[in-house]
Amino acid sequence: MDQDKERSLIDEFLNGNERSFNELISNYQKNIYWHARRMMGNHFDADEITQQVIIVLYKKLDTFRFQSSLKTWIYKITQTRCLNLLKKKKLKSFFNIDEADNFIKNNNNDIITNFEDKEKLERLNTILKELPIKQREVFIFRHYDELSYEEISQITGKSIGGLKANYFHASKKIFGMMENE
Amino acid sequence: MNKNTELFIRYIDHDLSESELNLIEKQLDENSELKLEYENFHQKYLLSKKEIAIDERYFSTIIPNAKNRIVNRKFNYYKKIGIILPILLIGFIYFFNSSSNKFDFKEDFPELLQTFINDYELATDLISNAAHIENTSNISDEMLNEYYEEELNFDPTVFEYLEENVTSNDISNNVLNQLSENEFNTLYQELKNKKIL
Repeated sequence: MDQDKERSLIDEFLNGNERSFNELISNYQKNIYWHARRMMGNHFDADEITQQVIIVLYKKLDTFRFQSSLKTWIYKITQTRCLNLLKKKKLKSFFNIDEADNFIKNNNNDIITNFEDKEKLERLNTILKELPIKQREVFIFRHYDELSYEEISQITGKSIGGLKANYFHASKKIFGMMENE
Repeated sequence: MNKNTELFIRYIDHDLSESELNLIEKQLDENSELKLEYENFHQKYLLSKKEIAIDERYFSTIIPNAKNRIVNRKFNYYKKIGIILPILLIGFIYFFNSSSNKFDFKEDFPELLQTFINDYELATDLISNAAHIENTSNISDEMLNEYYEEELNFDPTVFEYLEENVTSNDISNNVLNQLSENEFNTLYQELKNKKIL
């Protein structure tokens, strides 16, 4: 969807057209979900983040000033939510509060129905979890979301050189681990 | 990990300089072993990116679910206001009522007096008789009020009210009719003893 189309959908939504919002979000909801899923490693958290991001967009779209692209703005919101939830989970695990994790483990309500795909994703998630958060986020943005370094830099506020280094180290680890499997 | 993997990562990521790019492409053309190695790496790369089959119906539920949450949040917000506002209003009403709850002589004094009668029978006599005596002997209100305060441990708010609003005639009109002669005499003696008279 080009920027002019996005702009006109946003204007229509701000003038009360709910359908325009739905159309706009339909274009991004998979990106939001998959980014969150890879960052968090499970459907339950990814679903929660996706909905949170949509709620934020619904309420705050009037504050979007087109200074960046809508895509990077949405990814920025998504990434912030992911990092916040990861911090919260880390804190919970520090205090041994693992009710949520137990719930996730026991929750079969996943959108991946194919067992083979599920296993493959699990393996990838295990590998991704081995990465430090900074490397994981850059790898996901670059490898899966296929964003340019400029876009990732706009989202994360980090230098392109630093991002390239992080991506390189992350790739080395991931493909190295895949080789050992 | 193979030593060439680093080069492949940068190659796929378009992160090589022009000279590096030319060099690796030339080597891939000429070196079949390197080419095989690259193809293995590329397979892994593609495998890691392979799309995963998902239940597409899920994506049709995301927006309605999010919108429901928005509506529920609004509802919860109004529900909270609906609960908090009446509590605040009741609090305010209670506060203002208690702070502006002025002593109404005609309505409240007999009740108050009844309380005194139950607890301090003699005190009641003294109040009543003192007022009567004042009425007949020109004792000032100020003197009487001082007496009430010192001897009868009046509630300060009642005393303030008495001081500001109640003349001894009010008391005598409301209370003295109920006194017996003995009660009158007791009070009279008491006031004499206290050198009020």
